[in-house]
Amino acid sequence: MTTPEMSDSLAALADIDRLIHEPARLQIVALLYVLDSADFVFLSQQTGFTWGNLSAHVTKLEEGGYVKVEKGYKGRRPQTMLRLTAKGRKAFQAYRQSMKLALDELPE
Amino acid sequence: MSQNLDLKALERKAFRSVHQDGLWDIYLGGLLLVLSLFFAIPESGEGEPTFMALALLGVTIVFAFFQLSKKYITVPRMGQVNFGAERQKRKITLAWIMGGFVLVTLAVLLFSLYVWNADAHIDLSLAPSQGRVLVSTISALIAGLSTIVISYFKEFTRGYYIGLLMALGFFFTIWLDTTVPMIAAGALILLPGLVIFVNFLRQHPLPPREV
Repeated sequence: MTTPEMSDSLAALADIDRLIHEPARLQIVALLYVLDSADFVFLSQQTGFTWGNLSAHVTKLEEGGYVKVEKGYKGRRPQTMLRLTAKGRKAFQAYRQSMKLALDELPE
Repeated sequence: MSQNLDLKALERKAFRSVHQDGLWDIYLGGLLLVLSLFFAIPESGEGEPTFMALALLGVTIVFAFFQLSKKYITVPRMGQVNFGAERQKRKITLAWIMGGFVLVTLAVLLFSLYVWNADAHIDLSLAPSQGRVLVSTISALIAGLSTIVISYFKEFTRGYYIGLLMALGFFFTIWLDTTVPMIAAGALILLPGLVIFVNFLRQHPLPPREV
């Protein structure tokens, strides 16, 4: 039998942001949350993701409006810097909050 | 997830990773080796301009090597990153403190020149050996402390060991009037740096170029 508190927790889990919840994207968003901005190379080094994998996840985050991709040049080398948008930052804060809420209230 | 998501630790790990190329070690070790040339000038002053020119050229080369290696070797392999506001604040604080160190060093230098000047009316009443210990201690404190302060702000753990070696190098070189301690300290800083640098190159191949 489920208690009302438990069903609240389960409801909180159902509301989890799935765009962030995916482990690879969670790593990317968490990293960008603590940084101002970083390029693909740095993110790849820190997360250990391959170029293609990283690119696919970043595209999804960009489509969701969570990550801003700034293409430019450093000297003559093309450089793509990534930063979390205000929406992405808010979404990550909300994600942390709802995960904490949901998991803290679950019985041992 | 097997661990809590510790955002502070995540940021610290990212920040510290920037110094794992060994270039600071090579730069500071090289600098110490080159600076030892200043202390190799004979008492007679013979060949002084040559020693000075070589030392200044060496400082320029070591500095250029550090800057160019960061730009053309480390950053393409490690990537480009900008840290948050808190790190920027610490960077500005460090700049102010280092400015203070430069001012103190200049003040000590000017004061020394004034005291050594024949017309100066200041008598410190120090025996030559005491004077040497005083100069050795001040130089060691300036070199060692400035490196340790930089290391603290940059969270560069190896920097504490480097700072200690720099202080010892300066102290014993001036106190014993021989360049051996400074060369030894420089080598003890530079060689591990080279090993770290080679490992860094092995572990961080060039990524595919962006198009």
